[in-house]
Amino acid sequence: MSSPPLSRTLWIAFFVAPALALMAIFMLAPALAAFSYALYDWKAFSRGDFVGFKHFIRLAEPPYRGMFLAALGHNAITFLVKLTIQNGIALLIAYALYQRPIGARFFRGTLFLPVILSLVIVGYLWQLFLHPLFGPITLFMMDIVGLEQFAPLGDSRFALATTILMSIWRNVGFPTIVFLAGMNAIPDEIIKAARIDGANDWQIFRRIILPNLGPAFTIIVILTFIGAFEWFDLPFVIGGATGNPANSLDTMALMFFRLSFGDTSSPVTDVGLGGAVSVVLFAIVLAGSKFGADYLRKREVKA
Amino acid sequence: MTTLEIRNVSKTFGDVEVLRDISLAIEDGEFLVLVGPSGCGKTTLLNCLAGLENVTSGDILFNGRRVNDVAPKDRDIGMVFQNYALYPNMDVRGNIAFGLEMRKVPKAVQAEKIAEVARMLQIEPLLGRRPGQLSGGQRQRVAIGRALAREAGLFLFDEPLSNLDAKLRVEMRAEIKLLHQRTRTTSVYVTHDQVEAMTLGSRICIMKDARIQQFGTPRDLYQNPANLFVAGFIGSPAMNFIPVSPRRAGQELAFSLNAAETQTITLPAPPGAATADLVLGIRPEEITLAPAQGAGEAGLDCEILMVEPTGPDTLLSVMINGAKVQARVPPHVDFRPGERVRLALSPARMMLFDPGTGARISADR
Ligand SMILES: Nc1ncnc2c1ncn2[C@@H]1O[C@H](COP(=O)(O)OP(=O)(O)O)[C@@H](O)[C@H]1O
Ligand SMILES: [Mg+2]
Repeated sequence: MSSPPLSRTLWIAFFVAPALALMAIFMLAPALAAFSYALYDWKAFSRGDFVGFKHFIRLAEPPYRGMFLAALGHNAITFLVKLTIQNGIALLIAYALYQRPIGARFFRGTLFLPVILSLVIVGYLWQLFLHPLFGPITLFMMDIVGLEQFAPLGDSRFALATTILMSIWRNVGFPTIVFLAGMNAIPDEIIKAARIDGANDWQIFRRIILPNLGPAFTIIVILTFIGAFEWFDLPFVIGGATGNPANSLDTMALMFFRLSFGDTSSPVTDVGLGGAVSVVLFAIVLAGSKFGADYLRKREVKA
Repeated sequence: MTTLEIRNVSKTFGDVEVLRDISLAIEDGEFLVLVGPSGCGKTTLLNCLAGLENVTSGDILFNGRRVNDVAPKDRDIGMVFQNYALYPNMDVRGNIAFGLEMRKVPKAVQAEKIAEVARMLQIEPLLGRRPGQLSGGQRQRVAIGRALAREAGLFLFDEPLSNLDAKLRVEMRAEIKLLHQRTRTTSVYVTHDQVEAMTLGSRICIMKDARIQQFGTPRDLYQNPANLFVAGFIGSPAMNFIPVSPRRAGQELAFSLNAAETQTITLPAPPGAATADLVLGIRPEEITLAPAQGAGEAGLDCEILMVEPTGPDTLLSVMINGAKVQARVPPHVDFRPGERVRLALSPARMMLFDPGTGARISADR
């Protein structure tokens, strides 16, 4: 192939340049800046001496190591639970909608509704449902089920699981729509052929539909990964900057925020350490997405 | 080994009537072609035979047994789809094996069957490839192989060649014909191409607007089309239709084919035929060159509008009674547009149609 003529290259550059410039100014530059912050000492928000990798070393030592590993663990649990349960539920609902039951359009819309709801609203909504005194779910668990008390958000054993469930409730519509679109993209004739070949519904799902959802799976797994490892919003709304109760909702993003901007109980900030957390977080997300995407793409069916 | 009978089958989608009162029957080993313009309900009828759609009313019988409520997988059919419908996630071997596997055919037997159809269809080198790595013709072979491997009692084809280029289409058509001669499996084949219908079918069912227009052998349809639609649909180039205004002369109808009324033609009057305007049909290959004037035989003197040599013969276009008429004549005479030619239109070759209902009113030949 010959290279395109120069004028064409110039035209392409002309059209691409503004977007590239915006990306550079508003995304690349801040990212590099954040990386550089991790290399300095900070007094509140004023920069001090260049200290090299000191903050990274601090992060690898107590007491921050334990805090960071706990946060990382919460992110990992969130990822695994959402990967299996959220996407499993989404797959089931998508398959149900794929059968075009009565009211399919209504259900599709309803499922997607929480996705467009503000996360802050979702957080407060569920805090109301679960309010220890008058929350309807609390009352149900105590009066009908007969529990002595029911306050999962106040209990460090259950807070993370409960918050993940809220997040699933809020987000499940998105993978559902993606899976449904993937299923609808499979030509009808293929399903008919499988039926004539003697496959039952389960065999069609398992042998034909699932393997042909490859691209949908790739995108959903990657987005779930990024979402779980950068998780900030709901833990912050529910548990504040420290991820209460007892740091059980702490995540890497929350830790970064707390160190960089302080929290209500301790206004002391540690921008350098926060920068180190953000760099590690970025590296994990980048590497995970890259390897995940490469691996999953290779497994997709090339039509 | 299957005989097929369709009894008064109708199908509606909501308010849309897609099939109306379809009835036909074929013997074991026949090759039935369903042909008609796009949207006339061919695929729907085939899907009803496959059990992929339920009929709204009427019955479908395989071997005399009503199968309306039998699931597709239990109808003992193999189907080939227009867009091949191969499973993209399986290689060719997997595609062919899938139906066998679902039917719990032992692995060793599967391998045998796959090898057999692969040999028959010459797709052995393709067995390890995915459908995405095959050309259209190869995909269709695999699709046929998949249907074949199951050794079903009835094959259903839905426009299997319409996505192939012209040359490949002719080749595959011949191959399907040979395959049928070899296996003698009862087949139903949907197409919108009348050439495919004529060349493949042991019997042809012509459909239009949800209804059967005519059901018969290719020769029947060609020689005795039931109506204007069938007459115009079957045959290429298409039958000529010339408007005529006959007078009744005793037991005969007399009409003229030119304004000067120099050639008057008389045909036996069909029973009950009014002397209203009629449509005369005659096939291009049944118009011959007449000997020069005065040689005794009647001829119609026409001006040549267009000359289309096709190789084995030449198509001449002329005007008769205000209708464009094509004549298929031997290729060795060098005709030119603007010249005059004498054509012989033999009354024995003519058909008469009622322009209102479209029905043929002249007797069978
Ligand atoms: N599932 C369906 N719902 C509603 N209308 C349909 C459906 N399937 C086919 N039709 C209509 O039925 C008519 C016949 O369709 P089809 O059998 O596919 O025609 P053909 O195969 O002869 O081109 C068309 O007018 C088509 O729009
Ligand atoms: Mg069709």
